[in-house]
Amino acid sequence: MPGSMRAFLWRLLRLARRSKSEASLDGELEFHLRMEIEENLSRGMGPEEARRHALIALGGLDQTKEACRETRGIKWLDEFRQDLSFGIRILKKKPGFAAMIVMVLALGIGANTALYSILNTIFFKPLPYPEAERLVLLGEAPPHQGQTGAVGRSSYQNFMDWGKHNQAFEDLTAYCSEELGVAGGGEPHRIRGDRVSDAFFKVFRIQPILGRTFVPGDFAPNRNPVAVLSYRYWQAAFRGRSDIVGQVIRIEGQTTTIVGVMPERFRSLAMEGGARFWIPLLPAARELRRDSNLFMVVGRLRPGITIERARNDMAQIARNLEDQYPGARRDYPPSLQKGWGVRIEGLHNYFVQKGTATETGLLMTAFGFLLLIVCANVANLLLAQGADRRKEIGVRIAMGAGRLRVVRQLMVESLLLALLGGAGGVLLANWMLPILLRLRAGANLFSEFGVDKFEIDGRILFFTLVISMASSVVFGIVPALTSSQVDPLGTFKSFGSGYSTGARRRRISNILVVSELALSLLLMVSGSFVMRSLYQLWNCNWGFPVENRLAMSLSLSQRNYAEGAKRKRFFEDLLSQVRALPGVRSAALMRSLPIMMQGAATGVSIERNQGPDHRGSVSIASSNSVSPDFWQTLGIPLKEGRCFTDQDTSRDVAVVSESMAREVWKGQDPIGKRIEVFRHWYTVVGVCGDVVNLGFARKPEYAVYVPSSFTFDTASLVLHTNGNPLDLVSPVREMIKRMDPDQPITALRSLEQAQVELGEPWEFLLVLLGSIAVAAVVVSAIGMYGVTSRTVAAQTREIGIRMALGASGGSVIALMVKHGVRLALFGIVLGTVAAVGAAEVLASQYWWLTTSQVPVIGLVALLLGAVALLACFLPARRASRIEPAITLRLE
Amino acid sequence: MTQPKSEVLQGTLDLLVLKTLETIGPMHGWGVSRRIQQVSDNALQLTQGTIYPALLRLEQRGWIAAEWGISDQNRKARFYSITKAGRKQLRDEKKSWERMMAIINRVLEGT
Repeated sequence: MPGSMRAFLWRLLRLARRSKSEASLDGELEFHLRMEIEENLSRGMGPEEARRHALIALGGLDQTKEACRETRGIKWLDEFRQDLSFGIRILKKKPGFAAMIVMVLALGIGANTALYSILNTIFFKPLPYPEAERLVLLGEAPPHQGQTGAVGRSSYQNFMDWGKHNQAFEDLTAYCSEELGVAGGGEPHRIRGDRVSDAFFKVFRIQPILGRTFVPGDFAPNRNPVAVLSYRYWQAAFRGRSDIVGQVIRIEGQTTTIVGVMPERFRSLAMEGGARFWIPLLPAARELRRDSNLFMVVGRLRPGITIERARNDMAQIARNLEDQYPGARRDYPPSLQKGWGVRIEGLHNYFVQKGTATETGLLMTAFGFLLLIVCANVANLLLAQGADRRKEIGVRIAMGAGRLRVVRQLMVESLLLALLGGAGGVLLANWMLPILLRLRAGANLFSEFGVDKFEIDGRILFFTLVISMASSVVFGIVPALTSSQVDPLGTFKSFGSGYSTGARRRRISNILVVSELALSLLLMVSGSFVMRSLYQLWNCNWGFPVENRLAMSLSLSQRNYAEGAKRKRFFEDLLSQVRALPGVRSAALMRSLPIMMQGAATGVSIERNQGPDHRGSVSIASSNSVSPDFWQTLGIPLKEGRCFTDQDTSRDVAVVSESMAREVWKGQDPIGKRIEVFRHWYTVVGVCGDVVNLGFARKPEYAVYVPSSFTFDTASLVLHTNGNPLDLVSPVREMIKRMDPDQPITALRSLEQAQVELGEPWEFLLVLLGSIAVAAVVVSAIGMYGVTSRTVAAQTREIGIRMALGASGGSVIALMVKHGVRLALFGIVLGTVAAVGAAEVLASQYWWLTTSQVPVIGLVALLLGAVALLACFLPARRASRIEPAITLRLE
Repeated sequence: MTQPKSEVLQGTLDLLVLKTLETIGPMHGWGVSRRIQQVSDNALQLTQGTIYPALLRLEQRGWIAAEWGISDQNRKARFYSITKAGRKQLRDEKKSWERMMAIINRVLEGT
């Protein structure tokens, strides 16, 4: 044992026991001194002298105490070392047994270590900025939001005023991410860049590795456009060339000088997908409205200012600003015109909580269960081994070892096994993590978080050590207590017989097996439940078919297509030309592709009575503006009324989704009803089928479609093709290049590909859950096998007698299997009950989980039952081949 | 006559403590050290303090048990008593001591 470990244990022990034993020792020595002093006094010494002599006789108070302390500590350590070396000897004596336990433990601990290191990398590591705990995210919060939920965006004007009036922040910065067209450094492409206000790099406190960041002059009206590159973009597009500073690229058609490169660890905030470059933020006129909430705001708190202080401070400022600019939000619905606040959240906190809390919880629970199953299994194995060691333990107790001492010895063995298992777990995790990262699903998910490798660092090793030690208690304590309960006399009496292992021991072992099976079933059902639902989700039910559809996104540069008429002409040209391509059945333009409409939800007012200003209830719906061919091209069925025609482009008509029509107008005919979207009234002319609008894993929501005037900044183009949609990729590219050589195309792919991509993060979850479920089944099968083997071993003689009396092999197998089957049934019933409960909980979290799981549970129960039966059958068959003569001679 | 004082032989202190406790019954640390000094007619040079680590060690091995009680002078004191295991240990130690003495004597007297 390394010296540091020994010192650590020693200190731990002293901490735990110190105060009590020290007080006791003090009292004892005080008594001794008093007695001695009194005796000296009675001999005629003066009080001072009496005390001095007493101390001399004792040999010094502190010296005595120290001597006692040493005795106390070293004794424990000595015994621990004894236990340890004895434990090692025991394990060496049965290497196969030890190896099996270590392997099972390594599986459970390794899985948890791997998960922890993933979570650690994504969530628990502090953000890579100096004093990151002082960084907060700020956002304007609508009335009554308070300090919960998402942090919204803020208007530039308010941001500027916050900066002037607040006392809480050292600096505030506003930024927004956009896809911008870039020429220079390869093909023209659109990539994500951040427009940032002047304090941006100061707030994050990161220095560039090349060149400089922005200076005030970069924000002046007559400035020269400049950009700072991210490390990755610098490497990818410019091959990391060292003379990059001073080079010129074109961003949105504007000649821009590169002035700096940021270090690799400086990545844009995860929620924005990671910017490749940063350019100065010079707000356009429309961005200067006080009610245009467009910018993310990040602030650095002054040292010593709490987030609470900052919230109070900003609440006051928000109230003052509202008083100062009373009409700022007069274009909002009445309920949203007044009472806005500021939501402030710690940057790191926000990322940890954001979105993934449920998935993280789900995974942690699943992995925790696996470890529990493993512990139950190991406990069972140890229990069996304890039965074999009854004689050894009996001898030790007869020789005067206390029960506590025996328990401790057994616990030290457990600890030894757990530590070995933990070491194996670290190796396993180290081997698994790169594989997880290489999975396509994993890689995409992690690159979103800016993770390109997992490190097993000190924190993770500590975590592994802790869970190993905790496991050793969980799996070790019951076998240790049971095995140490040996009546030495009884042990000797039954020497050599190997009869019953004791009802108590067997009962505990049964409980362990049952809970193992129940937990496995729970894991398997939950896992397969998620898998089945995902499978269904992937394979249907977006509300439209995905075959033979090609989609792409086009964003027109604001510089070349400033006027609406120009944009209209481009898109009209695009549609007519693309329709003329061979193999295209129909084509449609829309503001956004339905499944990708994250964040497109908007308030829709429903007119209650006929009349100009009778807004009734407000619903939330996703709104989309689409070309007339939208339904035909995507294959969304029309349920009532009509689609749009070419004449509708300038008319105020709308098509709504089926669920909305049904629930808003409750049985009335929706055709002819009026709704208000974006302060504009439309008349409903048609009802179409529901589609999944807001991306994967969200309920289909109400949808409103309005005719497009073709003046999009950004639009999605969808083609319905005759054959493989991917055959049209190059013709479409060619065609658009002819129309405008600088026009980038993004997200060009078939809808089938889009569907797969959307499922990827879930695929990763699925892979993890699936492997956990499989591991759980394997482990509990081992458990079943072990229990039946033991039953067989314990009853060898009985079997021998039965067979000597003429029992057939089959009846012996049936007898042996019966016990196992009873346990399996019990475990399966218990697990089923738990699984039904768990499914309810899961279904309440994820709408896409199918609620009917009878087939899943039935299937899983059958599978698990079959595995359990096999695990029982193998040892039972061995029993049936017993030679009666041999077993009887075993005596 | 004054006997020459000798140091307590390493390892024999345990034996002396056990024997003392066996003879006089439950006793506190001060009493034990006093008793050993008296019985040996002050011949053993026993720093009284060394008795406490020894008592602790014996307690840890389970040869003696300790509990708080009230002394003759009505003071709270920790009383030690010999356990069953302690008596067995004492017998064993005594035997091996006697065997050792016999061997040493035989060697010294050159029989």
